[in-house]
Amino acid sequence: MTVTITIKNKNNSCAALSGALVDIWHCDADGNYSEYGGTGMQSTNYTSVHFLRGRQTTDTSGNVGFTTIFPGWYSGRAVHIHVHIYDSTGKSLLVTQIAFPADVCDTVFTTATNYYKKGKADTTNEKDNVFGDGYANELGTVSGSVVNGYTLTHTIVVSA
Amino acid sequence: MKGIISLCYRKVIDASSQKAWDKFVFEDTHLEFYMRAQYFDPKSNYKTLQELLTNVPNAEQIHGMVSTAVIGYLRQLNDIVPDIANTHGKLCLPFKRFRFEIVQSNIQNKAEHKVAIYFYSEPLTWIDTVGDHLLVAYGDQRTALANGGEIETDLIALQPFLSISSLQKS
Repeated sequence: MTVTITIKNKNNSCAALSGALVDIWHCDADGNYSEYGGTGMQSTNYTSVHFLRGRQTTDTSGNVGFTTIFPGWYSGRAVHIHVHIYDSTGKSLLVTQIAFPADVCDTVFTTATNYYKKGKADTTNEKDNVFGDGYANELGTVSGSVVNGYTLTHTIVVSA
Repeated sequence: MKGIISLCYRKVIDASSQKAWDKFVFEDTHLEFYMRAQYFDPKSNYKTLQELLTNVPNAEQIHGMVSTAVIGYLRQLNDIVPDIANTHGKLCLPFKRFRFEIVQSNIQNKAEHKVAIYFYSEPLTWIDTVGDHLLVAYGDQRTALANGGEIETDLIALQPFLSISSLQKS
């Protein structure tokens, strides 16, 4: 899945915000998050420290792009991608999540069953503890197909 | 032949570090500490690592979060532990495993920032100790030794911050 996020600045008439640091992370097809790297009593093999976590910097159009997979789901949560946006100095601007359209999720989880083995997510956006109070601002736009892959686009407004 | 060992080198990086690689790691981990601290402390009540650990539940996760700033630099080492040279003066220890920790840090005072990376060598055959040097062979050479063949060896000085972290006796 290709992800394109556009960051706009409320404090600048919603103009694009360039130079912003955007972290995203989400679970794998089974609903598991990668470990953080190299801590605790166990040493970590640094050639495989973490997966499905990344950071990009917005360009002059306020855009960042990621190449990832369609997330899986874990019990109690609707499908989502975590996002943390910082300005260019590292100051935190927003911690948020991206919600997914239900019909796309249902299609993926019942069709691409060689990867997604758990069937439909057990929590809808409406019942989700993060999205349940309304998710119009969090809902991403998803297009594509199981055969061709998916594209997610989303705009997030911050106060920078 | 004493057994199969792993050596562990604890590399400390702080404001006094001079090497270019160390300085990059210093700068990037300090910025990453500032960035991630805001996740645990959005109101920025706490400025130091110790304050975060004392006051915020689960703040010890910050070590792992900040370690992400180091991974790109670790890859630049091409699987060889920095700073530890054999008696020829050549870096010699292969590694794949590491552990990262923030020793101390202060968002507002970079001079207090200090991190440590533990590098764990791939298995070595510890053959003998010569003076204060370890006579080793890379990998498990016990069979070759037992068969009386000639094997390649290396001499590595025991030195500060270098320890033996695991041992498997034959």
